Parts: sequence; structure tokens; C-alpha cells
Amino acid sequence: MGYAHLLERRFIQVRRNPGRALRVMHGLVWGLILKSVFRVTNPNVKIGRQFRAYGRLRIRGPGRVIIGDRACVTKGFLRTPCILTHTPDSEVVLGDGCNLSGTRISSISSVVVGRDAVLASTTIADSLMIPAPDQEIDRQWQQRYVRKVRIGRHFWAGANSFVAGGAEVGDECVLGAGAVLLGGKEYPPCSLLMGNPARRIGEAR
Amino acid sequence: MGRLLDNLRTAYYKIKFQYVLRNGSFGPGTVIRCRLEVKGPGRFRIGAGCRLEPGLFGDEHVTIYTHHPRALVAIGDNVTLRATRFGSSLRITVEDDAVLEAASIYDSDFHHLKAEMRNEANYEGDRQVLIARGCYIGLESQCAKGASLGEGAILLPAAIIGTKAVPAGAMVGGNPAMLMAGPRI
Repeated sequence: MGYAHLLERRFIQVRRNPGRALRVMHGLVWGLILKSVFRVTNPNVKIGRQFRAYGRLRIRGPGRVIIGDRACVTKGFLRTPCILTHTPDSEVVLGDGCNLSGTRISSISSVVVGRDAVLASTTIADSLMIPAPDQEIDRQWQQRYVRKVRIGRHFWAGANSFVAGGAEVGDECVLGAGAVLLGGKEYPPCSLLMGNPARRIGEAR
Repeated sequence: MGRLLDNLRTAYYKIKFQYVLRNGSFGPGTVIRCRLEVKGPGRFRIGAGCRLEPGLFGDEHVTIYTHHPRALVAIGDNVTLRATRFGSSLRITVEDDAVLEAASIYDSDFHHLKAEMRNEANYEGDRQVLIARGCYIGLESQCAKGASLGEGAILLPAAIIGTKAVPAGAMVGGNPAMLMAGPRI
């Protein structure tokens, strides 16, 4: 019953705006292709349902990558969205409905982004220093330079911003364009963060 | 297979810049794993055992642009460059064992501060950049003219540093760059 109702609503939407429906279909088809490619090449990648992709998505490394349902991946500012994991223990978790456009994520320990995040061409790295491909990551090095990244739901990161290791961001925060979020601080929910290093300059409404 | 490609690429760039164009030199044991783009009238010198790698996210390469015949980009031994961008019109020195991420390093403003003089060719405000032994330059950071980093200093990601001297072993970040942690954290 409810499902039929939903279908009817979709049908009305398609009749109103067929171009948009075509775009969505295009994204869904590309997403399906990408998903099946990752299923073959990298078994540690798990992508949820209704995954939309416009262009390439680069996922490299031995760690786990989990992308939730209804995610959308596009290219932004001539950058290919890219998710890197450096060790088998590292993980990247993106919640449901997240929107990546040219986002680059590099993870040694863990990067967790809540649901419905909008990430413009942001760089998220959970380490202050990036290890060389043949460098051995020992515990001491990891303790010194690697901090986990935790971001709440409804996060919005502006263009060319940077999120470094140790950032703990609450729900519904907004990071301004070009801002640099350095670690070691906790930011309360609903805060507007700007500057380099980023400070809370107001409330995000 | 990958190593063979790297060796071929290294040999190609060695022949191109060291013997044909004669504007640069590579030490023994240097491996080039990415595109190397060199432009301009200046020279560059890369020491032994260096590694030139593509950017962390795989779509950038090392660029060395010089804007004056006297310009020199001198890179020491065992330095790792990951898609670092150099713009030089005086002198940029990178000492041994440094690691440079995809940062921009330039030693000039390239134009005069006064608007009516901006198109003049000779701009005399360059100050050389020194990156000492064992430094680490973070992702997307910028070293503008006159920056001098002490031994083992760490420039945090996306930091921007101008005419400043950083003490040895310090950690600096932000814009303008400030001391985040003292020497030897």
C-alpha cells in the first residue's frame, strides 16, 4: 500500500522533471557499475543501496571502507574523489546520504562521518604526517601523529577546507570554505567553524 | 613491472634535464615515480637517493618552475617529494632527509607591491627559502618567501608561512603560521 503510494509519487516527479530523472538514472547506473567493480577488485569496500556516482571514485589501500545508503559521488574542482587507507586496521565510514564532490580522505586509524554529510572538495586526513609507501608504521609513530576523526551528522564542509587528525565535531556543524580544522579540540553541535586554524565563530542555523 | 617503469622514467628525465637541456642534475639512486615538470631559465639540483612521488591522492606531480636565470632549487640527499610545487626566482634549499608533501614553496612575490610597477621585469624583493635537515612539510601548506625552517621542524597541514624563522624541532600551523608545539614534542 505504502509502496504503491511512493511509486505514484515518483511517477509524478518523473513526469514533472524528466531531465532530473534521467540524471538520477545515469548516476544510479554508474554507481552500480562502480559497486560491482569494487566488489571484484577490493572486498573491503562496502557500499550501500541507491549509490549514485557521476565520474570516477578512487579507493586504494588495504583498510575497510564503508559507505552508507543513498550516497552520491561527484567530481569537484577538477579533483577525483579519493579514499585512501594505509594499513589493514584503518577504516573509513561514511554515513547514509553522504554527498562527496571531489572529497579526498586519507586514513591510518579511522575516519567516521555521520549521516547526511555534504563534503565539498575537502581533504580529510587523520594523521599529521603521511607515511611513505614502504615506511613501517610503528606504535610510537602512530601515537605521536595519528588521531581519529569523528564527525557528527549533517556536517557540511565548504570548498577547499581541510580536516586534520583529532577533530571531534558535533552534529550539524558547518565548516567554512578554506577553513582548516586542526585536531585536539572538541566542537559543540550547531557551530559555524571558520579560519585557519578553525575557530567557532557562531551558530549554524 | 612498476619498478621497470620507474627506472625507465628516471633514465628519461636524467637524459632530458642533465644531458640535453643541461638545467638540472640528479644524484645517484634517485627514483622518479611521477611526472616531473620543469619550466623556466633557472637550474635545479637533486641529490642522491631522493624519491619523487605522485601526490597522495594520485593526480598531481612534482613541478619545478624557475622565473630567473639565477634561480636555483637545491634539494639534498634522501629527500622525499610528493607532488611538491616549487616556484623560484632566487634560491630554494631543501636539506637532507626532509619530507615534502603536496605543498607550494616559492621564494618571491613575482610582482612589485606597487600597482604601476607590477609589469616590470626586475623585481628585487626575493628572499631565499631554507628547509633544513629532517623537516616535514604537510599537505597543502605554503612556504612563501623568506621562510626558514629549523632542523626537524614540522609544518602542519594547510599552514601558510611567510618571512619567518621556525626554531629547530618546532611544530607550526595555521595562517599566519604560529607555534603549535614547542621543540621536541
